[in-house]
Parts: sequence; structure tokens; C-alpha cells
Amino acid sequence: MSNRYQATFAALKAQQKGAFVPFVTIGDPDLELSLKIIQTLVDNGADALELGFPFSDPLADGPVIQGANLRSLAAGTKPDDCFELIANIRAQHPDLPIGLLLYANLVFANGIDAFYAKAQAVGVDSVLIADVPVEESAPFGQAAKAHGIAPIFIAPPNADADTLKLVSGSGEGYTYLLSRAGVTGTESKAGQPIENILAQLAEFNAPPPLLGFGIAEPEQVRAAISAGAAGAISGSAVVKIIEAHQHDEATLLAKLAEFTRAMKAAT
Amino acid sequence: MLEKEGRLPDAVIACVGGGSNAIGMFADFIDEPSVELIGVEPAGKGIDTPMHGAPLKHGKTGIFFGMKSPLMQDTSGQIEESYSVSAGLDFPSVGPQHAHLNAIGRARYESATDDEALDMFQTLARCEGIIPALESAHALAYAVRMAKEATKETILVVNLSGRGDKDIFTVADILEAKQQESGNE
Repeated sequence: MSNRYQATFAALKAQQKGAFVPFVTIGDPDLELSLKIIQTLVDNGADALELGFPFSDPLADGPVIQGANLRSLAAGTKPDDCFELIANIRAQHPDLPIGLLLYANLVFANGIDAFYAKAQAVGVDSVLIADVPVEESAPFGQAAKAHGIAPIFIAPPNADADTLKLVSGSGEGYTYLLSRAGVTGTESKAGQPIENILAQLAEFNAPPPLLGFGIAEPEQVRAAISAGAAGAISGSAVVKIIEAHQHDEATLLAKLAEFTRAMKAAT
Repeated sequence: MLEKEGRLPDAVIACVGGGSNAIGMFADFIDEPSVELIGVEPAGKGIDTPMHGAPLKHGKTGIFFGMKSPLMQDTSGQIEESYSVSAGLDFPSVGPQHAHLNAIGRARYESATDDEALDMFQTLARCEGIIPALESAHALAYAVRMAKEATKETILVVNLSGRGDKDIFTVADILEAKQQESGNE
């Protein structure tokens, strides 16, 4: 596995800070603007990136990120376009952790191993497959590790100790800590106490936990980190800005820069 | 069946969208090798068009809805829209139990088009006074195809999985449109 996550988390820890990790769907609203959006996120303080490949049926996503998937597909984005865009980002940011968050059929369709080989070639650090539970993850996890890519697993808010132990032992890079049940979106906010689950993850030696789902405000980032999370992931809040200003590039990039700086400042 | 005929049927025929009614119908016969199990997928406007819902015989294995099973999908792995005149069969994947029965050769899977189903919908209503669901009419269409080749002693069981009252307005609209079309030619 590449050590970009490790290095990033260690550097942040030395500064007594946490990570801010934005998520966007690649190709939303189109490939050209998507590249500028991602560059803006990085230039304004994103510590790592979480990137989605557009999928026809994004069943873990709420309406906002569904919209991102539809816009990207309507613009004709193919998986190979996504890999190409990542190669471009990687060339500019050799140390930035880049994670993928996508759906199983895109990984499976043309061969699991071939997918991870491509991901490795363009410099992907981790892959989270939203619709593969840890119990069914062996073929994906093995292929990931064979290509030096960290398999990421979700720690659900209602998980029992056995599940958390399995998640902790199977994952590398970071642990995706869910703030709540349900699909992505800011309609229902994060807010459950996470101290207990964080303590269990620490006990099982899980990779550093990043809190996601419903993270839209700096205060939530601050709370997650002071509770002991290594950082926070924000997707729908970023995508809402894209949705609102997709036809006005200057405003869009300015708003994204402002949002990223505010979220990063809370780490 | 044993009471009435003193033997098991030669074949059991059911329509397959996601496959729930068919697997229910097949369940008791799976261990009876003399009984042929036949699932009928919707061929829609034709298997050679994109307008069908027959992933089991005409799709590719994929992962969707938390299962690995045949799927209508493009080369990138994006799920494609299925199509059938019957809403209940309009589904781009199929239960993995059917994929397994197909793979081991225990059941075989055929298809019937919208037109065949519409035809059978009317035929059963006319001949038997039973309005079958458009879904079930697909199974009937294949049974009638089989009956033409069968002997008098052959026993075919068709699962009439639903009633067609729900479909009468759909069918009326389609038949009316067809009539106008042929009137215009």
C-alpha cells in the first residue's frame, strides 16, 4: 500500500489537526469543469480527496449525489475518463491521498483485477465500494491489496463489536465512520455521539476513522475531530454548490473555495 | 395434481421478471426430476431490440441490489433500463436462484413478446372467462407454444400468478392504438 494516508495523518497529528476530505462525483457537471472543481478543492485546503465514478443506480446516495451521478452520465463520463482525470490530479499532487468511492458493478464489470490494476496505474490510494459489505468483500480486498490499494470499509453506527472488529481488521488507509443510518445527504444531519464507536475502533486497531454522511458545516468537522475522529468527509454539501452554480464557473469555483477554506479551518 | 391425475405434471411453467412467483411455483418440484421447470422472461418488443426484460438469457453477470446475478448492463457496467408491457416483469436483473437453476440445467428459460402476451390475455378471457395478468400471460404464451408439439397425455401446469383486472385499461389502450395503426396503413 502507498503510505500517502499514513503520511498525511501523521503530518496532521503533528500539527494537532484533523483531515478535511471533500467528495465529488467525477464528471459532474462535465469532465472539464470537474477537473477545475477538484483542483479548487485541493488548492483551498482539502487534505485528501474522495472521488466517485458516476453510476446509473447509486443506491447509497440521496437526491443530491444522485443528481451528480446523473449529470456526469449525461455528459458521457466513462470509467476510463475518470481514471484519466485522476492521473492528471496525481501528476500535480504527488503526495495527496486519493480515494475512490463507487459501486460494485463498475469494479466487477470488466474484471475486478483489471479495475484495481488501472486504479494503481493512475495513483489511486484507496477504494471504498458502497454496496459491498465487509462480509462479502474478500475478492475485492484481495485484488486491492495485490495492487497496493487500501480497501476501505464502513463502520456503521449500529455495528456490534464483531462487525467493528472485522471492519478494523479488513480495512487499510482509513475507516469510513458513518454518522448515521440512511443514504448520503444533508437533509438528515450527523449528530449521534460517536465516542463509544471510536473507542471500540481504537481498541481493535482500526485505520484512522473519518466521519462521513450529513457533514455540511464547520462546527460538525470540529465536533468530529474533538470527539477523536481523524477527520471528516463532506459530499452532499460540496455537490449542492456544484448543482447550484454549475452554469457559472467563476461563482462556482469561488463558492467551493470559500466552503473548503471554512471547513478546513475547523480542523 | 396427484389426486386428479395420479401423477406429477410433465412441465411447470411460470413467468420470470425478478422471478419470485416462478421460484415459489418451482420450489416443490425442484426435487422431482421428471417435472420440467420452465421460466418465461419478457421479450418485450423483441429480444434483438433493446426493449426487453430478459437478462437471464440475454444479459451478463453483474452485481446489483446486493446480489450477483445476470444483469442488463452496458460495457462499463451501468445498469440498463429493462422494458416489458407488463410492469411486474420490467426488471433488469433476476433472482440468483434462477441463475443457479439455469446454470445447473435444472430449469430452462424461454421468452415471450408483448404481442404474444397480449394475444394470450384475450384468448384466455375469451375461452375460459379468466383474465390473466399480463405477467402470467407470458407463461401461458409459452405453454400454448409447447402444447402445439405435445401429445394429448402431456400435462402442463401454468402458474396464473395474478389476475388481469389491473391490466384491462392498459390492454384496451394498446389494442385501440394497434387498430388505428392498421387502419392508417
